[in-house]
Amino acid sequence: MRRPHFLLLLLLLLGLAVGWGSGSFLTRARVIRMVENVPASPIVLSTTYDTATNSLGFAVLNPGLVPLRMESADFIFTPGTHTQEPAYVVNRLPLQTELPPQAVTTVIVPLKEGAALLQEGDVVLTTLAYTHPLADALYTVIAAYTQGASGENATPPQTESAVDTLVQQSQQNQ
Amino acid sequence: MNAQKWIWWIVFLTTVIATGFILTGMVVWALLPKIPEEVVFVLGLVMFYLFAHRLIFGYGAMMDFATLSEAQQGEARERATERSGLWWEMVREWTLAAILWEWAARLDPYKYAYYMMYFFTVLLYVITELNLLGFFAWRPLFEALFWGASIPTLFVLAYDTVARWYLRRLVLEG
Repeated sequence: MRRPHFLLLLLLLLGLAVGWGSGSFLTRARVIRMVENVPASPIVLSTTYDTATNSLGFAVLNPGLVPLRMESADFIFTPGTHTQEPAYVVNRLPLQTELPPQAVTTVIVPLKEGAALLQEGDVVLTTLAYTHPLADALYTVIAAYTQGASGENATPPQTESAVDTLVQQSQQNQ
Repeated sequence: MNAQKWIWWIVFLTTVIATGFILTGMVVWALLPKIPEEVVFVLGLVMFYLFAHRLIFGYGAMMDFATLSEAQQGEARERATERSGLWWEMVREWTLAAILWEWAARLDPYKYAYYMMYFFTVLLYVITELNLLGFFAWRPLFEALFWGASIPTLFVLAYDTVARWYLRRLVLEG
């Protein structure tokens, strides 16, 4: 009687196919779930104020898998109690900064030329506009910066509360 | 050491290492938050194994009996009858080959019921994969069920065909 070499080879190949298929299915399901959880928008991790150049530096994380392009910045300067500078608005300040995928990039936004240095309590509400390589639309991310007591760094809770206030105001306007 | 001992040690160590990997993977999986695909995969695996259990152990025992030497076959007839659920008074005069052949025939309804259930699972998966009936969003769950069910089915197919080969050898060569 013939030995069942062909049968055993066939069963071995079937076993490899089933193991490969089920293993790759489970891995694929996890990867899809992971990619779905990646936020679509860049995230402003922290904001720093540079007194030497009178500019704000935004540390922006691009968590996605494609490079984004920071096109322009609009910002609203709201004076605090310690400054003589009047409120002003700057529109469409061109940036043209590339945000590589899965990296933190510092986006530098210079304040209005000739404006005084930020004092404690001054708030700069910045709207960063960016484009996605696969879409024609212009997207925005809004970050608020409050000049802190140290004169150098904004603390994250203040930033969050400023954004919360903005959201509340927009809801009240609706 | 001869070649057979080397091969035995290689197989043994591979099994031990693979078991270690599988146990580690199960512990890690138990700690991770589960996704629905994985839950359905394990459900399919366990449920189809419950139906396959009788077939896998039936064909496995049949293989054990079919590979006995001619001297052992006589006293093995009674044990084989007991395992198979046949009636000893009916098969008292039969050879071991005939008892095993009858046992295999009595497992056939279970086998085809099992294959039919697996066929319906495959059908459900193909229907959703091709989006024929509309519940396309459930596709990953049906795919998970399909892969989970494929693993016990592979064992049933392998044990079935190999046991039949041994049975034919027993009938033809004694």
